[in-house]
Amino acid sequence: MEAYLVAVAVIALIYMLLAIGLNLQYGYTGLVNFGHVAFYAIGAYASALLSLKGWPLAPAFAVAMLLAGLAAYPIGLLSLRLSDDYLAVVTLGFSETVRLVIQQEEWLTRGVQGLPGIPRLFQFLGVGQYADIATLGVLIACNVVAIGLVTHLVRSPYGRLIQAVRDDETAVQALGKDPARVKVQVFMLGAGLAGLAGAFYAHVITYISPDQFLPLVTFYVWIAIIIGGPGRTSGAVIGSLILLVFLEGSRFARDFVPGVSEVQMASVRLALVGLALILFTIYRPQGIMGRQNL
Amino acid sequence: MMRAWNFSGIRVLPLDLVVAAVSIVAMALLFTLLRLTPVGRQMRAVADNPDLARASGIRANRVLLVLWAVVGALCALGGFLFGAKSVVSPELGWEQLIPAFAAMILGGIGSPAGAVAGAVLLGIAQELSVPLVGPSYKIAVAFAVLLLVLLVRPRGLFGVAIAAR
Repeated sequence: MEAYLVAVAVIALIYMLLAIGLNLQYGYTGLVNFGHVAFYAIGAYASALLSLKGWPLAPAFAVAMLLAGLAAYPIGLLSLRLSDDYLAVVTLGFSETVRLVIQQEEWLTRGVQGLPGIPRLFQFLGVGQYADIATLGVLIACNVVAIGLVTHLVRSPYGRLIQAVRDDETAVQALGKDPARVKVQVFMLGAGLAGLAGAFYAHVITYISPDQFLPLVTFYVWIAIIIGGPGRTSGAVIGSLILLVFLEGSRFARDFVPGVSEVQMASVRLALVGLALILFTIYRPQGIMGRQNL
Repeated sequence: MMRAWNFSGIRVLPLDLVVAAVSIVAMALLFTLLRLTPVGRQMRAVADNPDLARASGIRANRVLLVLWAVVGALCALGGFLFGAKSVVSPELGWEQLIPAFAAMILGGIGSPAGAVAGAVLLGIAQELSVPLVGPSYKIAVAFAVLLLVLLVRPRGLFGVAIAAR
């Protein structure tokens, strides 16, 4: 049971990293990124491939973050020319294209067969409790650092600038600031966090394949920050915890409802997540941690 | 099943002609709705300026309801034709989402004729790309077209110029 709880907590913390990144992009800067999973996938594959080539994990993680951040650069440049809904479509298309490339370019990624046998984190501690708890500890540390950085960032003059870009881009330009550069930077930062989350995911699950990087992951992260409250880092934290309780909780609910198969339950789970989202947008559009009149 | 007709090397199934005919009729109906009926005029007014439309006594909520009903019916018809032509699967609509967006943006937002032209052009581009990049990259081709249009000609082929998309 403890092993299970640790495993769920690890996944929750990975989602939290994703949510913190997306919240920085959407909540603070107003960038509608529907392709978050692309950067997650790039991070996961980069770190997995490098570590399978014998790289130590620390530089592999660093390269994963860097690559995901760099991949966001062209998309960030595009975001300058596109308003919200167009950016949403382009990022969604980008994430599907990334997934297709991973699926098709078998010489690099082994395609739909996926990459098995990715080295586990803290392998020298053996398989079991100690390695799991050490992984949990590192993830908690990473989340704390990420939360600290984002909190510090949004309180700085830079943070006021990105929130001003979200609220009124023309006004920012009139004040002589450059919204374009800021948007690209935020895009790359958020993508780098997603890349880190992807690297953790690859080394926790130890097997990755293209169908783990469906747009559904992006939407889960969106659900987490909408429920938690966009524009609040605490919202991203609470939102991803609630999301995981919900996703995992409905697994147990199956024990109490007879005659529902695992596949059917997966669909029911999606429907319930959707229902919760609709109820939230109707009754508490600012999210749990959101301020009134946002 | 009927045998394909052969027009000097180009084979056409009778079903293809039915699909084409039904879509042309549907397009004609849509044009009539948008251009010749009061509700069509109201739709265009709401799209142009919702506040002004409301101020001139158009019930925007009702117009939006009609709009979504029409969109739903058109999508259902599209799904029906697609199913008649190939295989039905739960991901059918999802796979058409990005190509549909690309076609709309290629044709020019707010231009029904542009959407039709964009869809035809995109469809041809996707099919012609198969020998070059393989059948699996169809969505990626749609994405590439989408990017190209947004970068080179953001208003699309038939759209009206707007400063930023």
